[in-house]
Amino acid sequence: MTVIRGEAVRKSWGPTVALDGASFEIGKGVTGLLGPNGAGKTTLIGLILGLHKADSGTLTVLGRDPATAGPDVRGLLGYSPEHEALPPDTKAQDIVRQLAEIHGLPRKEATARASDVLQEVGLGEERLRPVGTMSTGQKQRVKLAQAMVHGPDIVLLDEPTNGLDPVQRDDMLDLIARIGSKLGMDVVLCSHLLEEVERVADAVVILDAGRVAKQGQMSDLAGSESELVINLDGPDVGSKVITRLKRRKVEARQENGELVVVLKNEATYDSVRDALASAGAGVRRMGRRRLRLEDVFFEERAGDPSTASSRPNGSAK
Amino acid sequence: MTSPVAGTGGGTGARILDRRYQRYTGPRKGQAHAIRRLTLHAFQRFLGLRRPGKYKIVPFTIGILCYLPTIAFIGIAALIPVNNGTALVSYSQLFGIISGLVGLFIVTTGPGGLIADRNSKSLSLYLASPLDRNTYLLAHFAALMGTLALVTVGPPLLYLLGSMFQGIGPAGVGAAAATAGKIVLAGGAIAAYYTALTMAVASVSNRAAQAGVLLFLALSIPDALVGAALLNSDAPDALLLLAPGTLPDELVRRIFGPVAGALQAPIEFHLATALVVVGTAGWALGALALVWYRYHRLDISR
Repeated sequence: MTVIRGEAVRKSWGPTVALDGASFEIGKGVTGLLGPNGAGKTTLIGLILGLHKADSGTLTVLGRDPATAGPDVRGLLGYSPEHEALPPDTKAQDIVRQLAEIHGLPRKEATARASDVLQEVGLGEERLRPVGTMSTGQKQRVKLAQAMVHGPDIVLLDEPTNGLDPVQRDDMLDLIARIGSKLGMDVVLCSHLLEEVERVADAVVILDAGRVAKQGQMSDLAGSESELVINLDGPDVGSKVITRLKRRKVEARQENGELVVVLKNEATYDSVRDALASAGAGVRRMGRRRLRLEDVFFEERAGDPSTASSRPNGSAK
Repeated sequence: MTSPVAGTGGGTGARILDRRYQRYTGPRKGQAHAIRRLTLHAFQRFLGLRRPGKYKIVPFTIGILCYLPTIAFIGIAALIPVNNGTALVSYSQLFGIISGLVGLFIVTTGPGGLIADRNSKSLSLYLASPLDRNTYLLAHFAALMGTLALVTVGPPLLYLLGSMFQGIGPAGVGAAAATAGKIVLAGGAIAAYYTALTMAVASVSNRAAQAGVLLFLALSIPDALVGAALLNSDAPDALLLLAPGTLPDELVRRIFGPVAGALQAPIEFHLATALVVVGTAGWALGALALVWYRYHRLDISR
């Protein structure tokens, strides 16, 4: 089921084109909205929230146009912005309660839920501290709490792990996964960090230079192709094996002293066995490696001359 | 949110309750509720409520100061009944006497709310709710107007009650109700007027202290120039319309009627009341138009 749908969505800020005819579908579960800085992710979030109006194209959120039904749509959305957005002199519990009330919850319900949701994100007694006295990790948790306190249909999280150390990041990603799976809210996780999306998302929409470079279920995108990594015994045997594999029309390369073979189908295994045997190569270790989202991303970028030279920040590769 | 997940059985009736957060699925109130809640939260914020103690010092100190002249007049009337059964000062004069303190309350308390929401970027959270820019501004207008009404309506109402208690107030329930109505009208008009001007200044400044100074200058410099022009030349009284700090005082005088004696206004303006009303409303609407323009140009998603 599609919860957010865009068709040829275009949005410019003066001469800068932020979204250039983006067409996409976001369904149930956790969806990663992926792309380098400047790809148009934040603009798209703004359009989903009805904060801006698209120059052209159509966008529907929960079946409604956020540009015309903004208040109704926003009542069913939760939003955690990329930037700091909490008043530093207000207690975490107070600001979460206030935002719950503003999203339509009765006062008593809002008070109880603010406390519960802050406990849920790991803030116990800290919830009674002013936000300005909190660490970056705690502030990120408060932002997440205010986005989910009113039980929205969709939670929009814009770079929720910004400024977090690896342990905090792990915790945050676990929380996000729980929101999407256990609490029944659909999540749009906006990130430029591929491994984050890979870890928690069920589906992904990859934006690049305002366009949708690729989209689909994670299993379809990242799992359609995989590679066989073989650690060979003996010098110079790798090139001999590659030559024999190429004769059998099997793609292979050497990477960090290992032989990497692209697995197209089951027959590839037979070709690898035969090539190894005819080259007289011994095998120390052999294992299958799934193609990562990162590879999909760069594969797309490599095909686009305007973006082929750059990589997203934070990429581990 | 608190749901039983398992029963222990037996006759005790004890149950294990799941205290973890569960998604809210109950009824949701709409945009009007959101406006009311933000109005209340902003009102509390202006007064420093639900914030650390230091934020309460200025609004409460100056707010209490605004009531002191009224309390003093009531006290004097109680101790020294010199005025043969009439109040010491008229309401118009009382407004004039406390106007300086009210001004101080406005410049110190008023601009902070809008600016804080922009600087902390919590504006983006409010606008990601059922509120939009217009309703957000409406809620802030109502909150600030309510806050200012504490010092523009409160003291004269207290004076009315004190006067009546001592038998020097309006005679009869009807007269008292009419006076109370005039107080609410005058105090409400002043609060609304200064709310509009304060929000305009707050919309063009990023620091509360700077906005307070700007507001003070905006209210005092044109008035000083107009006052000098009117006192020292044959300039037309219509110049009053260019004095944003004096116009509301004149409006109050028109509501309560002219005053004679030592505390009468230094200048009697020969200007139609309708023109005073239109002039005051013009400044307020112009200020609100500026706020609207600034907020509709504001990029709040990045």
